Amino acid sequence: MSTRENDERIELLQGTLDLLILRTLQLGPAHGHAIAKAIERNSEDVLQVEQGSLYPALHRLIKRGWISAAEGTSENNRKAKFYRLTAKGKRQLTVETSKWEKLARAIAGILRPAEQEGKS
Amino acid sequence: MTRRRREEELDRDIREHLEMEVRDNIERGMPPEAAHSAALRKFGNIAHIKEETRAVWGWTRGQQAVQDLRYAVRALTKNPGFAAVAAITLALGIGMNAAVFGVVNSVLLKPLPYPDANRLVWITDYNPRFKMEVVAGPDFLDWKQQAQSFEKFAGYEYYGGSIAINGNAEQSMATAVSEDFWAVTGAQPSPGRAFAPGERGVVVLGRGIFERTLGSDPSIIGKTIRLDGRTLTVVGIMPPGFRFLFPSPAPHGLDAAQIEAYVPSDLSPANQVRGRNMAIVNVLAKLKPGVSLQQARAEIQGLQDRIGAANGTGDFYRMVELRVQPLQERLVGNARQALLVLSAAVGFVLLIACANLANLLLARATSRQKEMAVRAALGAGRGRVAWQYLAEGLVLATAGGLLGLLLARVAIRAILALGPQSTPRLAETALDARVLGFTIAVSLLTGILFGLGPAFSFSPGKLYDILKSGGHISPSPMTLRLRQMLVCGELALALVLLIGAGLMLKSFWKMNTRPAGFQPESILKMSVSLSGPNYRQDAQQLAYLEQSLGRLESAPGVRAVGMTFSIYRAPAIVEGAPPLPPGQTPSASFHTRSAGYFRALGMQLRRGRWMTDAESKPVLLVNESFARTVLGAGDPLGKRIRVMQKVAEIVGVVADMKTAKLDADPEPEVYIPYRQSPFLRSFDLLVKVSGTPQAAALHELVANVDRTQPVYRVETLEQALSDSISPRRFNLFLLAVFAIVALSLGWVGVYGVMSYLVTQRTQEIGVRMALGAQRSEVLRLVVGQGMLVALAGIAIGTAASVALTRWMASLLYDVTATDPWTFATVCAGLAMAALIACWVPAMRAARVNPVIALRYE
Repeated sequence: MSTRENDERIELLQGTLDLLILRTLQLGPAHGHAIAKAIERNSEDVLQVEQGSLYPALHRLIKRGWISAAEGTSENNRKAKFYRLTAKGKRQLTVETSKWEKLARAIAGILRPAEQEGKS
Repeated sequence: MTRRRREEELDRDIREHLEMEVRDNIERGMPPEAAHSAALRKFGNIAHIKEETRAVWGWTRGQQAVQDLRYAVRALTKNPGFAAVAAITLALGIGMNAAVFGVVNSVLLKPLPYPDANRLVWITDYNPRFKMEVVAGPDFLDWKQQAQSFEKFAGYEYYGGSIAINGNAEQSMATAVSEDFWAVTGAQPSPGRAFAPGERGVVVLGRGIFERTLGSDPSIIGKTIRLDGRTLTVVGIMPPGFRFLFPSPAPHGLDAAQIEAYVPSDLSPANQVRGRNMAIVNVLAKLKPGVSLQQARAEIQGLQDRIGAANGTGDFYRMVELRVQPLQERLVGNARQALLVLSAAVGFVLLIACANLANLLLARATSRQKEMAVRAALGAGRGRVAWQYLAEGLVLATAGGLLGLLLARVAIRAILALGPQSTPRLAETALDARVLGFTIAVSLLTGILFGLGPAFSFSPGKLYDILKSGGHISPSPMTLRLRQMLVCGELALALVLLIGAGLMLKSFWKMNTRPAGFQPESILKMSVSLSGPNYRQDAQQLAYLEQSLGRLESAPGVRAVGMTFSIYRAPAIVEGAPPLPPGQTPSASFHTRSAGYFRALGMQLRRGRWMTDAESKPVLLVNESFARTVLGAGDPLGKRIRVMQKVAEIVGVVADMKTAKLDADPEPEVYIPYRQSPFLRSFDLLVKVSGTPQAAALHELVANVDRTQPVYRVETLEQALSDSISPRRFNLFLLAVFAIVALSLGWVGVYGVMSYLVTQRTQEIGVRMALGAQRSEVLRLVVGQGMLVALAGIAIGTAASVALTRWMASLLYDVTATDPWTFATVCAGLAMAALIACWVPAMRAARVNPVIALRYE
């Protein structure tokens, strides 16, 4: 459960999930379920996030001060927590996005020759 | 935000989230039940997610610990049998250690109750030939005047005396103390005062006599009492709580705790003339701060050398050995070695208890692998599982520690009741803060040890295998090997203790062997020390003695009456023998005895004749040791020995007999008829009766000879002899208790592991029997495996004992530390016990029904 191998995978996943949450909240405040839905919808259901893992991530982001939480009312008229991006979070989103793009480019650069080899 | 609110909000958010998901699913056309389970599936492991979220908040260690502890208590109460056995095992180990530490603390560790007690030293000249510690008065005065290493010197002398207050005489001890005694001990008499320097004719009374005899009436101050016939004015009473804890090297019958009178000593250069008129004094000194023992010793040695050279007494100083040692060390003396041995022994008991507990926990850890695997699967990290084990270890240790404290309380009470009076400050043993702290520390240590052991044995890598196995978990061979090693170690430790106890038991038995005619239980012993103006003359003393002997002889049921008194120990000088180089003349102890004494004790005559009470010429008897060591091979009869200024002829040789101390080897002794004795001031009367002596009646008979003379220490010779070895008896008792507990724990350990092994191998045994193995073969298989472990333990234990028992050589009597009989007997006994412990589970294995065993899977 918590061997070193697993920890590394979670670490990678966590960072990604954080980025996805920040990106989702850029569009406006949302509650947990809505964030999950948005991530699924926008990734065309490719990213099947375990919805529950959103919560540790949300609480981590609050702790870092990137998002804040406020009580609100959900669409079915119940009390729910709404999360919104903070100024610090917005800055972080820029940083994280550029970091992610760099990483994606790097990985793509490594993978492309392999694809070409596969084709030839 | 409080944790509880956070927790509630998280619950609410998750619930809300799930409901929304369920609703979405229903809208997509799922039936409600499927919608619900799909939502749950999509959400993931709720417990795990909560745990992770909590981890983000950061549980404080404290909150987590409380949680773990609560869970540990619950887990243990669910398995009360295990918890009880574990806690009791620990309690035995911890409790006995706490009790022994209590004794060590009060006897060895606690500083003496005097200001700057760590700077107090005992200085003496030890004469190895006479085995006596003496300081001559003039030396004391010179040291006091010249030595620079010391702040203060206090000299004191002891004497037994009778204190008469308002006509009632009471036998007690008195001490004459020099003026600095008060400063050195920090004692402030209250009520009243200490005596001023140079003051004479005054006395400070002890607290005991003040409370017991005077009813704590302070009006005694200013009045007079009589001490040994001298009239003294009472100026003060010792303060409550003051204890006289100074060594009493002179072989007085009464011990220093019974000192009831303090008088000024009159040592002065005027009355202390070297070689002519010298007092023997005991010396206490207080070092100056920062002065080491070596420096102090060197300075006194230098002074002695100079004194010897100046006075021509160098020979004397060459014969003795200067001793400067911390007062506490001198006081504790032999008790130190005994206590160290006992501490080691009780430490072994704790180790054995620990091994047993480790064994129990290993067995439990095997059967709990599944539980822990489930917990890990539900999201407990490795650290959390380890903490859980640790919490259980701590809960067990706390329970064991608390039970142990109760046990220690009982044990300390028993120690106080049974412990020898002669061990200084043993009576002060109590369950105080230090003992409590020690107990807590030991408990915590064992708790951490036992918590962490199983925690390390848990490896999450095997999670899947464990969960898959569906509850039928076989222990790793490592675990079994570990358990066998633990049992092996337990048996080895138990064997060391048993051999120690066996050696002491044999010593005890050797001490108590007695010749056929000796019946100490029917001999009553009484002591008399004549004092006062009516007994200044020898004739008066003789009259008292003969009257007492006469009255006792005519009492009903009395078979023999005798008197004895140890005069001194002196070089045995044989007339006409070639002179030996100085310092090599053998010494002998000289006793005054009446003819009846030999009859009363049933002593055996080896050669010559008995002496009578009315010898016309100076005669004496010697014992066999004297004949052997002093006279050698020659015929002892007719040889002439010097006694004081006279010379007396040996008329008989009697067999050696231990009449005062059971643990002393017989030494050369000389017996002088009482009418020829130079001293009759004090003596012991011995009355042999048929059956049990009527102590009170016989005491009264002698007391009535003169009511002003106290008759004291009235006891049977058996009591006196048994008191002479009470420290040994006490050590034996404690060591025996430890050994028995060790044996029981070790036995339980072997039994437990064998039972476990049989349970584990039931199936295999079933297969063997189905294939035609005989019951006897199964029996041999199981017993063989168990005995292999046991014999390995015994072998290791024997080797360890050979190495360790020499440390207890000083506690043994007439038995070598590697006595082969004791070793053989104990090893055989332990092997036997182990065999029984293996036999019972083996029988169970042999009765296994193969059909059932095979279906067991």
